[in-house]
Amino acid sequence: MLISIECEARNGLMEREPLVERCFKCSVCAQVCPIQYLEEYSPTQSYVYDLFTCDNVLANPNLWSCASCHKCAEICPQDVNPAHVFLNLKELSFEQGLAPPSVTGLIKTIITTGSSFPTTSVTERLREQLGLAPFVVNAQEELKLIVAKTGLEEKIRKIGG
Amino acid sequence: MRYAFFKGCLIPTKLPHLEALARKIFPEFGIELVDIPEFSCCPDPINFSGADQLTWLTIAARNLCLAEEKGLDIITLCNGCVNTLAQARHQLVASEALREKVNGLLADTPHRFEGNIKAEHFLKVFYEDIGVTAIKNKVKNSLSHLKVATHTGCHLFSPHEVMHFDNPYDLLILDEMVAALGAEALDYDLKPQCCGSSLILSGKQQGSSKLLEDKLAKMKERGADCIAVVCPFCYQQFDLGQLMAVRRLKLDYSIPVLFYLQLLGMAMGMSLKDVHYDTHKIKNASLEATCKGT
Repeated sequence: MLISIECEARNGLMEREPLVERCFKCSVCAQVCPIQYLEEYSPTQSYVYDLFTCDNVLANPNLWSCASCHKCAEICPQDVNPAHVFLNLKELSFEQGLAPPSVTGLIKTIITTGSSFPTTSVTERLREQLGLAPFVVNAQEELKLIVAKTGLEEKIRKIGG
Repeated sequence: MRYAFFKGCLIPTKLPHLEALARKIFPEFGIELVDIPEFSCCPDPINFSGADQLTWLTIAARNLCLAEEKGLDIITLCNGCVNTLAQARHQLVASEALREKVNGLLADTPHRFEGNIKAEHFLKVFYEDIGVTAIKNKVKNSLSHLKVATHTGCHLFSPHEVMHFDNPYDLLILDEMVAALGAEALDYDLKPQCCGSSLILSGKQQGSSKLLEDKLAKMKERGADCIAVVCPFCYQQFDLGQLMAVRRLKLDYSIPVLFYLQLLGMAMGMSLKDVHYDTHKIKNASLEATCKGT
């Protein structure tokens, strides 16, 4: 039964994020949330409520679509802060290796190159045409020290990234 | 005014014409930009902050330290960068325990976070420090022929208790800044709605296009000649994203997006070509005709 699955998942989530208890599916957030434009959502089935009640929220790929735009937090009449809840859920999802490969890829790119978008030959050509100096990032060595110390390096190794 | 120039990732690698404009225009307003090649990605406030909050915070702290060591505040051209740096600073200043923890994680590097400098978005610096009057005084070619739909972009004003900028429910600052150039800023439905960039970044192209379809419809309804933005992700979404939405959903929209610095440059006497309009995916003949001779 859908309802029992919802309750079980919701109870688990509420243990970690007590604020979620206050959500009574008023769907006000559905009016402002950009992720609401995914075809699986409707005015009565909101993105936020889906993540609050789905069977395994950490594996829900839509979790990683949350833009952290905070519109839900701003408009929620119950003072639930879904954006913050999702941030915490993303962390657990990442830890368990359930984040999409594109996310792990982005994190690896940032910590190894220092930039989300590494410089390409196109970058170099465009910058030269505009009379701009080459784009240099001298951060890699220190970032390596930081991710070793925070445990992110180990986390990525564990999830096989 | 001297600032550490935090270029971010998207602008210097994919949209360097916006960096070039900043380097050209900022000195006209007395802003001197100091490059710090040791800066890294902020890191991004959507995915990286979710994947590992502590590492996100520590890397952001390192960036803040680099400017602090030079005694400079940071200026950015990107809503994402300023959001990460301001949020990190907010958290670190608020909690001594967290600050000590992060400084412990920075111990192998030469940095220690003290919290003596701020990270600001250029729009805030222009609005609050330079001021609308000084901007008006630089206008040579009033943009009075342009109707502009402004899109401020979520991460510049949310969460409000951290960003302290504009009213998230009723955004007016970018309108005022556009009006200072002589243009008409339009009121339109869905104005505070996100550009949908995160949908594209997470591979939800259909959703991204549907969002843009709605937002562009409201802009067109009010007769917008162009869209004004202050974030490279919003910029790319309204340019490349609009092109993709038009193709995917067979729409009939071509509302060019202009970064605020492009509009400012035009008001200061630069042509569409000077502000690198030729690099845009979405162009519009009527906008080009209106701006001819300016």
